[in-house]
Amino acid sequence: MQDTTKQVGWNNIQLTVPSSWEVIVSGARHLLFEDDFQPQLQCRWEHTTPLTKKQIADKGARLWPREWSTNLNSDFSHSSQEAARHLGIFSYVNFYNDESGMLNCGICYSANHNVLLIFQVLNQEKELSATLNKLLHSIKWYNKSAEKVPWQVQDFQLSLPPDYTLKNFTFRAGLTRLAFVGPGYSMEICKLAPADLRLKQQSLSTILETLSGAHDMVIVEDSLSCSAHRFPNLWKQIRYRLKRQQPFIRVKLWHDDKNNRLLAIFLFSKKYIAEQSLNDHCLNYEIIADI
Amino acid sequence: MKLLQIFRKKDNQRSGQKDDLQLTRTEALQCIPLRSETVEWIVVDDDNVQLEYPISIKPFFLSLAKRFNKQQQTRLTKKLQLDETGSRVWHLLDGSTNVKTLIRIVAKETGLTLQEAELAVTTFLRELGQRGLIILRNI
Repeated sequence: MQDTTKQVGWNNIQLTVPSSWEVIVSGARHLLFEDDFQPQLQCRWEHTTPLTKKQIADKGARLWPREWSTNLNSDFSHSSQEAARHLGIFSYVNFYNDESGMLNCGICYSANHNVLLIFQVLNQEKELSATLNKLLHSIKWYNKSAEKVPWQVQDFQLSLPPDYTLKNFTFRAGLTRLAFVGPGYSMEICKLAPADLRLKQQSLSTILETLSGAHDMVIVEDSLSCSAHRFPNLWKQIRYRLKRQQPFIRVKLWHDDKNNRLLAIFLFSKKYIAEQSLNDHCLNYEIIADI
Repeated sequence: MKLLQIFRKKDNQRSGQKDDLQLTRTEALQCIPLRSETVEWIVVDDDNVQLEYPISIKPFFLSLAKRFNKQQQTRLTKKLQLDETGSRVWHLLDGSTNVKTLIRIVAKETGLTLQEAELAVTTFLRELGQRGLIILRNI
């Protein structure tokens, strides 16, 4: 039986998980993986300055969220054999077993990328150890020197230059929204589902205005997409700036009828935004078909 | 001090009772939602479901209403019209489908991810439960 896997990318990390796993974003650098509504694994990471061994242990203990049920300093035995297998990827690894000898949690540090990762196994099954091994081996870190950073959760895929920073995110029923801060402008991406139900009640232009929160844009609409922009004169720019709003806007909303989704990209800036910037982002944002 | 202890004891008992009723997420997903017997429903235009359910009024206000309104009213009801997804979930409440299965069906039919469907369905069921329109049977 062939194993099927899928790529997950979130905030400068990319890893491979079984395709049956559902990825739940719990924080800016916190992912939870579930299979059939059963939590399997959660991981959390942080970019750090170069750390010594002692600092790794201290920082790992501080990074350990209070709500995690496992106590890092409890009587878990260190699993040095498991840990050694991952030293090729990480420069420091410490795994912890529970009383029955099953792998429970671990701290990993990559000196090449200055990233500290902690994980907790939430489902004590033998097969999970093998899955976890594959997962840890598949981890890729992206830093400022990368050409593109993949963002791939749920059913969408987005590629951004490395100088875009995640500012905010929302995962609601039928609406996913991510906000980034980039050089020159801020960017938001949206995904709405199901598209057919929404388009029954509202047109693309109405949805676009509602999502952008701006009602004084020049809108161009066709059957499958809707674009809008706002380039105010100097007096209006001053007025918007006084209201703490970005005066220049470029947005595009399009209907992916094959996957029944509405996708949107919004660019907000204090200066003029070229149309090519929006088009480039639109080309790198798509829905991935389910495996 | 004794009075405070009594209140504290009652608070503990109250919180103990609350803990017994609270389900874990796994248990909640295994529950089967059932339509309340007091709810009447019909299918209206656009194949959406309209619910009609009795509302409870305090006896004092009920007696006031009866005093000022000589016409006899059999019962006071409220109507609620569901949207397309809500109507679909209502049709699926057949007494044998648990919450997890409901979520899977909604995710498949609407194209939502499982996480989105779970949020939508659980919020909807919570809303129905708060109005007394469904009960949850714990297996």
